[in-house]
Amino acid sequence: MRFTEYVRQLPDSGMGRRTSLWVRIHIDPFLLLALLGVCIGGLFVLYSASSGDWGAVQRQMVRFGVGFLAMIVVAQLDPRLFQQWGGAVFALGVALLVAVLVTGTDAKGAQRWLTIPGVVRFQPSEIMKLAVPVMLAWYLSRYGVPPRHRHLAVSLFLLLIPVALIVRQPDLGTSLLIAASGIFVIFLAGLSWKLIVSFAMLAVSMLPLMWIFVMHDYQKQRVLTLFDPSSDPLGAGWNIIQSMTAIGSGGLQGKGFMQGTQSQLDFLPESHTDFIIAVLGEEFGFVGAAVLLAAYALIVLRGMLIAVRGRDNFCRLLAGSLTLTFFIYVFVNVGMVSGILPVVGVPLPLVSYGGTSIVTLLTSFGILMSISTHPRT
Amino acid sequence: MLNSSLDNREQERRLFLSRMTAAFIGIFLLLAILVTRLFFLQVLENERHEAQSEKNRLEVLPIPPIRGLIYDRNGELLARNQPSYTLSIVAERADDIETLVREVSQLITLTDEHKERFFQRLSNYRRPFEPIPLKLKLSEEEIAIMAANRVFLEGVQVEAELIRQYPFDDAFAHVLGYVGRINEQELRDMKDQGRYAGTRFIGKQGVERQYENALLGQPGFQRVETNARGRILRVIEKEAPEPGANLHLYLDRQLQEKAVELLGNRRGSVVAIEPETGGILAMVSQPGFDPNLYVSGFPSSLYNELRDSGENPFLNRAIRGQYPAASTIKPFIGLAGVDQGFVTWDYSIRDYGWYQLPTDDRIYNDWKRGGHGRVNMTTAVAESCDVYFYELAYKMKLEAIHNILDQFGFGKVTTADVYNASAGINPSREWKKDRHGFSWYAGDTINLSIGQGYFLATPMQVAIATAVMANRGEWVTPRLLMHSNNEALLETIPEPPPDVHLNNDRNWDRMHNAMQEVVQSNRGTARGSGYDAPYDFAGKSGTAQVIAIERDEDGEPVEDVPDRFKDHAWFLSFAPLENPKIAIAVLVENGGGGSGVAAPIARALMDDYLLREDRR
Repeated sequence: MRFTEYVRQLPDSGMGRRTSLWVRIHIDPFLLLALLGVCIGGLFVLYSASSGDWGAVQRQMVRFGVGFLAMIVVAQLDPRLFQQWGGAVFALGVALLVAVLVTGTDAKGAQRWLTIPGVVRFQPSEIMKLAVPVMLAWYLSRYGVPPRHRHLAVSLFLLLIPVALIVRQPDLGTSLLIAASGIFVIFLAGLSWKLIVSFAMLAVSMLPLMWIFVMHDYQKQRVLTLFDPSSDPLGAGWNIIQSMTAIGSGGLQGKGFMQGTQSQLDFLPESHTDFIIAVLGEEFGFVGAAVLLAAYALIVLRGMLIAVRGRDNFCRLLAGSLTLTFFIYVFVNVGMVSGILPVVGVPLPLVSYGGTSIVTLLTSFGILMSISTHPRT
Repeated sequence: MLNSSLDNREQERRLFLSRMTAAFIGIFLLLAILVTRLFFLQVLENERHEAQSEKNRLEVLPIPPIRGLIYDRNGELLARNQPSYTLSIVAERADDIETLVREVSQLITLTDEHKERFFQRLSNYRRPFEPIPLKLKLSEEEIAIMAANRVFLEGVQVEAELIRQYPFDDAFAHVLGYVGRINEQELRDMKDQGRYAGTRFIGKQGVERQYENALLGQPGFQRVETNARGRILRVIEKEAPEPGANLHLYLDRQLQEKAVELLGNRRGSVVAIEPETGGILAMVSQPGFDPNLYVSGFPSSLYNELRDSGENPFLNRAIRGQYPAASTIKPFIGLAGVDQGFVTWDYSIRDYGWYQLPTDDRIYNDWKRGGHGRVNMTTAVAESCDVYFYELAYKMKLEAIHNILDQFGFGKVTTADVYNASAGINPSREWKKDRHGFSWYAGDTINLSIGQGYFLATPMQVAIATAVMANRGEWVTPRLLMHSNNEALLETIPEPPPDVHLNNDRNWDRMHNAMQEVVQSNRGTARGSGYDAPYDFAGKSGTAQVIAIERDEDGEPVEDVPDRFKDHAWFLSFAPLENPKIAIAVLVENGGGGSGVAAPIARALMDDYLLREDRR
């Protein structure tokens, strides 16, 4: 068993065997194909959701271009580099989050953007989406798995810093996703089930305190409307009522491309950003939505396979966390648009219109490809 | 070493694999939840959501019907519809009403009254998404300003609508009535609110109220596709509205205006009827008011001023003003007295100027001190001798008098389509017992014989009785409506009361002659008004006492009396004597003597009507 395991690793270890073209250019063809499928399909939905705004589609294509470029570049790097630079990037990210709270640009009542005048304007929280799993995977793999209580405490503390800073912005959606990415690392590192159950119970018992002391009124309102959208049909409930109507009226096969009345007549808010799945559901029906979910599932399965095949603990933890986080994006977005989760600002990965998240996501797939194509040397 | 390291790695790999397996199961479950949720929404609940999305998209908008027009007998327009631009706000579409109104007031002039009315209407009961008017009758410039800024003012709209307009202002205010904005009460009482969808006005008084149902018409509908901001993108289906019925009335615009002019600024009323048809030729009550103000909204300062003026312009004196009919009822009582054999045409008495019942000491004076000397029925009518009628009344008793007055339409409403007419009072024993709790006294009958006491009549009733007299007892239902494109309306005209039958039809001619003596004999009370008339006509004056005043031998007050206590002047007449074309009642409040004030008005109206070029 041990021997076979060792032998099975031989081709990956690159000892004297010829490697495929894909491995040499450090691209995972399966993942690339699935990602391209979602992105191209997403462009069609975006075209319809923006009521035929070709300019929006072009801008989105530029982002995809930048994203895929970043993915390919990152894929060329040896995973060891992430290990080496992870801590520095994490520290820089934390510094930028502090800077955002001090000088950040206000948008819709939340400080999320950092502007370096004339150069660039971006959300430092995007950096943390990658830096947090890298940092924790490095830290936990360094001391061996499963982690000891001491290392567990340190990693929880490391996680809490960026999460707390992003909650302060306030950006509940992003902070929850970043918290999830860190928790996934800890979970995959082998946190004992006993502790998992105790943490879960602690979290549940903390909910009322969160409700009273931490959450903003608009956040509470979003949670409340989940349970009864009709309580405020023209206010907070409007989005969710209209998106459920859009999805539901699509039926099995949908109303047809560009034929969705909910989205084309502006009943659906945020139709080209966070609520874009409702456009898909309305115009392409249950079939269309199921196909998209299947494509996401393929990406996730491939990611999990890469993680399982990872060459060491760091690679496995990092790849696993990035993959699971990607799935959580999908679940939270589709869940909120279809009315089973409160509305938090989470875009539908690779389909929603918007800049930084696309680049961050594709970069994370670059990390996965790097892990899958850099066998141990 | 290598072995243990491999062992360790193997353990780590297994741990990771087991965690990934757990994650895989978790992912599978969550994915299943999403798919189930989508299946539930899109397949199981599809119908409900599809209906909701159709409801979102499609809106049914009413198209208000065009209100029917009102014409006079010669086809002159008395009430028409004119386009007017109204600035209104749909409260449900506006973010903050107060801010919006402030923004609008920076663009166009809004008075405090505009705002006050708007917020009043806003707080009242109304249909949701109904535009609430803020300013009516926008000028061309205001329309342009609002069109340019509409994009920035969500919820504000400028609508063209047809507004009722009355070209003759005050002259027809009382007879036509007016339309006004549907108020809260009317909205609640409405049986079919759907018929008023898109309509903001309702008939409040007069013909507008009486024929509201026919004038309104049927609303049409259009099914439109709208976007989330309520902007209409496409009309999918349309059903045109049905305009309201046009009404052609018997009213004669020229005669009506002439009557208004003749009354001038005196308080009073004129009613003219065509005896042959029962058609109401003129129905005037002065002072009037401008009905157009009711349409656009009466400025409250002006309304209060009119209401408190003491002139009472909102009282329709023609049908709501109830006055003692005074001597104008003598011909009707006299006719019954002769026909039923209480007296003969030749029977005469000597009038010394007073009368006393055999049973009581009270003296009943004639209006003329010293009396009229020897009078028979004809001269008693011509000179309006009170004593002759006192004695006749004593012979006839109450029942015979009440009966003949009833047959001529007093004490009841006989008009077909005059809105809210009063019945007046034709007293009876039961009526007095009910109303005052006392028995009927013989003296009450004496008072009744000269149209005083309990007896009250409206100018309309006096005109109707005159028309029946002119028709030799034949009743035709008095009415305003001549014809309409809605022919069913004519079928709603009720049957008239039974005709007045005399035992001897020659008595009609003799009473007509007696009434002609009033104006065309040298002893007649209104001989001045009959002078030089190119046609034969009959008349009767009346002077209704407001309070008892000391008078000289001609019946004129001895001292100056305040206007308010002066007598009401009455005159009734019909012409020509053969084949009458017009019957008129004139009342001038506190005008003094009927023959002096009211009779010339009647004469001028008959001249106007009978001597027109086209009638010769």
